[in-house]
Amino acid sequence: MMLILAAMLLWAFGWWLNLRLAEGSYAHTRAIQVTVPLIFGLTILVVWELLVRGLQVPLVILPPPTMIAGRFASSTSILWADFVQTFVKGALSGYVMGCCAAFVMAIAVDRSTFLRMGLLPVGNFVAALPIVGTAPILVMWFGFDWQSKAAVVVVMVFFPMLVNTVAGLRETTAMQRDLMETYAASYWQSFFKLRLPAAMPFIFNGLKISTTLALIGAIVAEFFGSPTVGMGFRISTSVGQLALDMVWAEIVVAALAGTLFYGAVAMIEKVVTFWHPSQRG
Amino acid sequence: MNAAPEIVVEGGASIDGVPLFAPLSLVLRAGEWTCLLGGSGVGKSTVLRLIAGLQTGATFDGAIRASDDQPVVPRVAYMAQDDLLLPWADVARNVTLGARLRGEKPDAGRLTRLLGRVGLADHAHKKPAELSGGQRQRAALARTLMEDKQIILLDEPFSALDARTRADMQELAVELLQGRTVLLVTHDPGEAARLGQTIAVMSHRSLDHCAVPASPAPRRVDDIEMLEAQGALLRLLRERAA
Repeated sequence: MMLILAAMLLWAFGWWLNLRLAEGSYAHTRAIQVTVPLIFGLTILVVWELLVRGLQVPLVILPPPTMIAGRFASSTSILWADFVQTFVKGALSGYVMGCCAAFVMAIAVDRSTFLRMGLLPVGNFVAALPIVGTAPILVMWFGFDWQSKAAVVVVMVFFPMLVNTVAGLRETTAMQRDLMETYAASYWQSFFKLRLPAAMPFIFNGLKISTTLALIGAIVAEFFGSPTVGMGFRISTSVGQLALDMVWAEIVVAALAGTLFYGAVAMIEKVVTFWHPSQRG
Repeated sequence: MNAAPEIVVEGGASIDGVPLFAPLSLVLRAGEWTCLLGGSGVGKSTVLRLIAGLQTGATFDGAIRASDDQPVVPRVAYMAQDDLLLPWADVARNVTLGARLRGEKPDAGRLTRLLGRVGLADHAHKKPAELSGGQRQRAALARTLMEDKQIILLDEPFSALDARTRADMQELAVELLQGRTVLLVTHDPGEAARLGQTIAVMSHRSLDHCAVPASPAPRRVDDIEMLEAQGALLRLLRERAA
């Protein structure tokens, strides 16, 4: 009972503190902008801990954060192996292959009306295929190891990347292209000096969407067959063993990896598209 | 630079069989400003784009010739209402765009001189977003001049500017484009009356050459003769549209 009451009080205190900070006169300083979400997250974690212990929630429903952290700390070598297998080998390689393939295809689509009319609808169709249906088939084709996971990721990221790049390449106005023509610029000169830079905000949209899709694809694909390592494999077997703390530890790894991946792409975007209105301020 | 040529445009244009403008004969006199005045959609920009060799979507039946029988298109520089500056490149890199596209090293001395003449010497390393509308248009003018072409095609380059900036830009353009064959397409009778050494009013059916004020261009903004010409042009424009 005491624990539940403490949780309530802490919740109220965290709320009050954040309200004060967010509406205070220093609200726009960098320090406060970092502190507010930090306090919010910490409050949730501590309240979670107190409630789970106070209400004696069973482990299989929800383990307390300290237990997840303990499991995380004691299984770093397993988690690291899973991370390398799923994220680096599966998601990252598939991401790079899928995005590069989509980029090249986007240029082909841009150059040819036939491809635009023929390929975009097919790409749309492929994107509409449910991942849980295609993943087992790709595992059959490419084997249990990371290659099949990369293939699933390629299928998942290809279409959003293609559509965004094609839209980006159409971003330049007819007048800008006319200007290039009066300079007697060739297709590729105008492509590299005008259209590719102008397409960058769109391309990075595709790249950012694809980061999360890649991780989801790689994890889900492991549910349909994998060697005895990998985040998806660990999650499905740990659920079977009722080791929910291990499942949560993998979720933490996935969340960290996904956030850092997205953040890294967003940071590159900030550098490349510094001139775009969306990056100001 | 060799002497700028005279350009003769003769012919008519149609879109999918529907006439856009009737066969006309337009002469851009060598080294002078010709103003082509007309309402929206009469095909005046099409005439300009035909001279520049750009796609128009219309079928042109006729010929465009230079007095020295050299090809026209490679000697053309183009400037539009939109400055068309690349937002990621600074002023200097925008002005030297032509050279950079061809993979040549831009002429640094010429760049400095031109930026000085358009009054952007202190802004060479600013991005277009940091400039005012007038400054951006001056950068576009410097870019047009950087190419050192004999034929300059201006497609309503000053229409988006406020009245004072527009008057300044008109004077600057006349000063800097001296000796070149200039075609200015505009819908503003005042602009044509101020700048034109030849003024033609275009409609779907006809092309009328109009009387030009005697004083040299650019005429003073309160020049009586210029204001009379402006009034006459506006009247003609409205009659032709009716």
